[in-house]
Amino acid sequence: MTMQRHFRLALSAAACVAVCAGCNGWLTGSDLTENPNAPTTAGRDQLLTAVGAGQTVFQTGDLARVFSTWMQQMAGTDRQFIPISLYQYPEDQFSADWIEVYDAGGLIDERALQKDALAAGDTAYAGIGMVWEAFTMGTAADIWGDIPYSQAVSDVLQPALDPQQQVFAQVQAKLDTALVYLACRSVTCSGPSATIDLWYGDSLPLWAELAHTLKARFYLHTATRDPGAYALALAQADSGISSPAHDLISWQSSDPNEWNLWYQFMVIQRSGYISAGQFLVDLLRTTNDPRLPLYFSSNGGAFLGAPPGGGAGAFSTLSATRLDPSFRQPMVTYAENQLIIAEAALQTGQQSIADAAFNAERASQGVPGKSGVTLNDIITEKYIALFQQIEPWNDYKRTCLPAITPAQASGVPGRLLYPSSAERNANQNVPPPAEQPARNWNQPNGCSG
Amino acid sequence: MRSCSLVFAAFATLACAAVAGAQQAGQEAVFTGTVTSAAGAPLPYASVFLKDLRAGVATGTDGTYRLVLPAARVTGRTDSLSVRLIGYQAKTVAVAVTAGAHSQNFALEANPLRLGEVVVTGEGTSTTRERLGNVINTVDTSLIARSNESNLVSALAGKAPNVEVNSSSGDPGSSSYIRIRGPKTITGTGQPMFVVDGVPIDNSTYSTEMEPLAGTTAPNRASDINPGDVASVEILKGAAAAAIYGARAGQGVVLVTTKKGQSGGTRYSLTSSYSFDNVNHRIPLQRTWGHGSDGVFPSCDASNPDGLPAESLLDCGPSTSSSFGPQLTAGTQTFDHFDELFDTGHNWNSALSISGGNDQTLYYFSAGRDNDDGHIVGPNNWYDRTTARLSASHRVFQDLNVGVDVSYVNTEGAFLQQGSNVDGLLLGALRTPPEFNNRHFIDATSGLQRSYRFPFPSVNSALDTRGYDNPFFVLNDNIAQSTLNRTYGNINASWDALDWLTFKETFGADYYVDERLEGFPQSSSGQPSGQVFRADFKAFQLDQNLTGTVRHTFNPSLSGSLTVGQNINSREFRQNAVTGITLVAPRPFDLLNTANWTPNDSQSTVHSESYFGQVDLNLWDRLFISGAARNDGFSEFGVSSQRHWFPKASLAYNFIQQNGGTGILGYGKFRFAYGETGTEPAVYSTTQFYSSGVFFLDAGWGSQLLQNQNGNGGLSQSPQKAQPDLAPERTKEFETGVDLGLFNNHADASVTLYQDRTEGAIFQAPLAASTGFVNQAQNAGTIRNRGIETSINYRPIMNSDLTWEVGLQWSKNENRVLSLNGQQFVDLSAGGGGGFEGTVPTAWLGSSVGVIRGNDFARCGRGLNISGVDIDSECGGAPRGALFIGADGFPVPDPTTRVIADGNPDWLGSLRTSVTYHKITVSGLLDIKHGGQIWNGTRGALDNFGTHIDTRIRGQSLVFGTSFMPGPVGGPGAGIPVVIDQSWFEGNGGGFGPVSAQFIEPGGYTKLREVSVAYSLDQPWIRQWGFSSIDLRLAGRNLYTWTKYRGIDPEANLAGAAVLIQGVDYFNNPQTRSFVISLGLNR
Repeated sequence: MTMQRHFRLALSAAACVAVCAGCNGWLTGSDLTENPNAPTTAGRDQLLTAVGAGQTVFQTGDLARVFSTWMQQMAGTDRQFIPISLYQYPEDQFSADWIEVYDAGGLIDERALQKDALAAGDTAYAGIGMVWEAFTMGTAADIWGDIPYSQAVSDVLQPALDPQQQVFAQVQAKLDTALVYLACRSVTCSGPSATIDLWYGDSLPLWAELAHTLKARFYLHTATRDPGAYALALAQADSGISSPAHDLISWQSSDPNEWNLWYQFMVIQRSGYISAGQFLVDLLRTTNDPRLPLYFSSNGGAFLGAPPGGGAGAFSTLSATRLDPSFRQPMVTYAENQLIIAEAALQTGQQSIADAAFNAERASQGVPGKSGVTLNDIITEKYIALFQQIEPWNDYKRTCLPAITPAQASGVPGRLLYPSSAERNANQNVPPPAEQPARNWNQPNGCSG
Repeated sequence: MRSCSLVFAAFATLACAAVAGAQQAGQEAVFTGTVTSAAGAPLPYASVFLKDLRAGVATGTDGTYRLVLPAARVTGRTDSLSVRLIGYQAKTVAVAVTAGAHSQNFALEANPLRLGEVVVTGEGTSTTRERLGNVINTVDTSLIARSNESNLVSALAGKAPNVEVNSSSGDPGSSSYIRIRGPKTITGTGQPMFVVDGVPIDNSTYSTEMEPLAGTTAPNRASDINPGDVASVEILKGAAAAAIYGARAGQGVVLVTTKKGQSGGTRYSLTSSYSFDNVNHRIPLQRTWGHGSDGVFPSCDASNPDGLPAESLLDCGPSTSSSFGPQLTAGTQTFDHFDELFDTGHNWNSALSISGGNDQTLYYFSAGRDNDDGHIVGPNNWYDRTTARLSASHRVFQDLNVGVDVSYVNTEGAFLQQGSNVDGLLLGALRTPPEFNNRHFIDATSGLQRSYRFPFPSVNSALDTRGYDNPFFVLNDNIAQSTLNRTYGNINASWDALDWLTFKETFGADYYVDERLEGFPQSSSGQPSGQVFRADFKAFQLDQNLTGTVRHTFNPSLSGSLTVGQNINSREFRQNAVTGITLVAPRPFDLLNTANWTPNDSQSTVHSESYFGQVDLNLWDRLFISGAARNDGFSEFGVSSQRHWFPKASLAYNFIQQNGGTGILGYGKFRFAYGETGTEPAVYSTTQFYSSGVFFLDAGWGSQLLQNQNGNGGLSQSPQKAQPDLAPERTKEFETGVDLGLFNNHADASVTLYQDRTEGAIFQAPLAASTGFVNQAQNAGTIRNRGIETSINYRPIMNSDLTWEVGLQWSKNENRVLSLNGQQFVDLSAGGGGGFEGTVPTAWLGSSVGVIRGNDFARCGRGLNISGVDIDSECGGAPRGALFIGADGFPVPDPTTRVIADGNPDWLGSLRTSVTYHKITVSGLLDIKHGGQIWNGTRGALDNFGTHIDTRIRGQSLVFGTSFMPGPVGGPGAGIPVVIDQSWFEGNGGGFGPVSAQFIEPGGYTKLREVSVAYSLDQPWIRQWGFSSIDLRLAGRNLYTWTKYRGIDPEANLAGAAVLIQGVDYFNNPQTRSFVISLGLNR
């Protein structure tokens, strides 16, 4: 009996020991503290693909559409696009666009791309990531002015607003580094494969041309404040995009997941919300510009643009070419580069260089040239050539050209309000709408209606 | 290495224990006798057992028992022979276990207070009722049987204070929602954990297509339990009771104990019931105005077999989806678009049980079949459940008992599309103009679907949308099927290692696969090219629980026990789902017959490892003190603090404890308890990951780009920032109360007060997008619930011939959101949230969790300024809350987002009575929910389409406040008559306008839940037929509902148990009432 009792005690003790030993690693590891449904790391190829798609939405989607109505290339003709095209929008209207700057497919992934590339010693690949970052952040500074950048995508929960001037300086510095990296000749410096690089097929010189054009663009955007920037822009544009074949155009295809956003918006999702704009249609028609049928559709040969806010009429829409689901949307082009040269040369007193650049651009567009070009000639041509892009709005804010009649006496908005839900509510550095400036640092002067 | 060998170690320990249990031999002992009530009536099913020897037997229907101890177990020592029967006071006598015959009769006193009865308190612990320091409501088998519900959760309606039960619809296989003491979380569904025989089981509700607002109804998985197998349900309501379950018990715990075998002869029981079910509320529709707009019929086409002004194209002519056409001429045939969809449904439920055993081995076998053929016409509205269960235990040695309990369930069902869904049944049906005949749902010429928006389909229209599907097409041609196979159960062992030390081990598992298949034919309005959705939901849970209990009596006035235990749990879930669109051939509904596939797979695994301990002290048999703590480690907790403590303590003092509870105040207990429980975070919230296969949205316009481009896979950072420090939500609760026995056991009363506070409620807090992320899960909300629960039972007559009892329950819970980390509201997100644009379920600071936010008309006294107009100054002294009437005589929408409805009830109550005369029992249950509101989105939409009876007044000149929307009004236009017309119903006065508050309706109700008459035959002639008794029962379920709600039923919720928010009605399928006849044969 005592033996049995000892045996029972021993067994009981063994049970306790087994329990106290516990389960090693039962609570952590794969499928437990690591999500089995999604990868926790991403390589530069996957990041570049996502950045390409995300920035295509940022550059060619909602913002380009809205600014094209503000610039009267297009017109809002139904539902929400009528008030939006008349500059009436709630504070939160552009929160999704703001998110595209910083979040998935934006800055956070552009940074991750660079980090992954540098870790592998592929500086050329990192350089491409820097070009995308500069393109994203420079465009955001054009739109919102002072924006979080130096503290953005870091551990800072409420990033400070960097003054627009500093953002542009950081963008220039980023592009300088990118150009150094893109020139790299080391063995580890391969860049993306041609199948991954949907824009330049792994041609590093073409990425370098793009970087120069972007530098020229952002110098030009500061020239109102700093006229010395014209010379800097001119120098950069000389090494910029050297041929229409080198344009940065979005990737689109006949796959429904890769359809052109204008096509998706105007044909599939929101038919009738926007139509051809009266100012651009009339401009092209009165100048007999051959681009009219390339841009717009006709109703039995008649092209009709809608006035701001729409109205009655059988308004033209985009041409079949521009509404092709696989039409690749221009984002940074040879035309822009030549017209930057023209403007910068003109502003620095080099009329013949300005004429030559202007005429080279016109020739590439199949339009006759001229001599003795004026600023109005250059910006108006840019307004036509950069149809459907964000850039005509930026040019207008600097130059008040072309002389459209704004839809409201208050004039075309000089910037967008910071979105409340995406940023202001969670970042005390962002002032409420009443305390935000009407215009950005680089475009201090409004245009008289 | 991640391994958990101790499960096996525990079993090895117990197996070894078998070796230690050898015993000597002796001679046979036989105990016989009769158990009767004090009044002399024989008591069947009483449990008679020898305490030390653990040998037991049950009395037969004549009250006799015969307990035989084999020779080997006759000890010759003194033992206690006890009798226990629910509802009677236990009795114990000392007997000598010697060889030979022993006779011992028992006469038991009634025990309506149920003192001394065992209450399961969870995780292997139990106590007796008078020792409980907190509320645990018990619902026993007879109450469950009387409910006539095949879903165990529905059967709990009205059975316990502050236990809200909400059946989502009357469709076969629809889910039932259960919530205890109010909402305590923002992110989950807020329902308690279910535990069967000590093992947690899954009670998830998986909506079809992962879209709870559309799709079909779906079962909650606790409905897989055969209610006939349930012996009792114990509801651990608050944190004070449930803390022993730690981080899974934040919403309470429902403990289900199943029936077990009793020793004695083999018993057979066969019960069968058959019901007649039909719709209990209907939607009133107008039948005087025809199809069209602005008083004219749509003008598209001429030929028309139904006499309907025709259209050949969708949306041809003005407003062709509406019924704002001309008044129908006399003699025009119209159709009841509601009634024509329903007939009488039948639920045929049969169950067989065979049980018995001897002093060493007990078994209980049951098989059940429940065929529910729904009340909606057509072949696709049914749910069948087949269950089989075996529970067996064997006393291997005197001190080692091993058991197994295994259940197998098969369910098959066919469901109908409902809700916010252009393929839904009622959405298309009730929008149909009164003169359109929906029964001709196939066009005779083309053989294709016709609907009122597409009445003449040409042969080329096979792939065109019908606008809304014809309801008869939905009934006959859509499919949505589910086939589920499930096994759950446990193996268990109990070893009395020493006289003062007991080990218990339970190893349980729960595994199911739910195979779903949905098919939308070509021409379905949601996906005109046709769609096939196929999904498997697999859930697998393992649970290992080992406890050791030490008991010690220090002296006659102080004894106690200590239990320590360990629980290890693993839950895996996998969803394999594929949606295929564009049917290649019209049939079959097979993925390979579709052109385009989109997978939607996911999986999750959660592990937990917990330790707990509980001390129980008994002082003078009057004061009972209990303290416990649980330490939980969950894989979902942030790795920096993966373990959390959950303590509890309680005290019960029996200040009056007279013998048998006699006297005016025969029994009195004061109790006080405190406890903490937790709610676990959503899985994988603590780690950062990249998103694959996502779209970048072009703002909100619908255009988008996939992040994979040209065959290259893209990965982007998830917009949700990981929260590595995530901790469980923590609910802290105080509870106190008194239980009284009164008037010589003729009455008892119980009052409980509680207050709990949930801290660290988890929600997705917004981040500045410039951080790179959009939001992040945070432990940042604080929610308070407090309330009172009372119950009174009165037994005016307690004779052996006649008993009459009345029970009253009343409870109130007040819920308040105390903190949301600076935000005014947080929208409920789980499972799609359960709301609509304009009616968003929300947790609102200073109000409740589960309120609906939306917009109202401008009202006086709210300090409004709309478009520069100071509303209050224009109101001209109208009372606060008066409807503001603009200069044009119409009310004005108020753009301010505010709380427009609170679905939480003001109080809950129930009234139950039961009269037994000899063998006849008549019983009834009234279930009352007072207060709480419902959004009648169905009415809003039908107003917009001109089919609701409210739109019959169109064209009349009315005055707001008097002849229309009566109530106080103010403002410049007050008293001005205006024409209420199509523009009103399609604008601010309809469900698609900006003012959803006008469709909020009172959701309170009083339901006659149960009425039954039961008769039990056990006369000698019955026995001659070979039966011990025959039970006959005639019952009604939900026979009548008193309510001000004008929709389908105040007890309705579109997303059912899949979401936290209740009280959303948007083309929900209706509820039913039933008449049931039932027959039970016992042997």
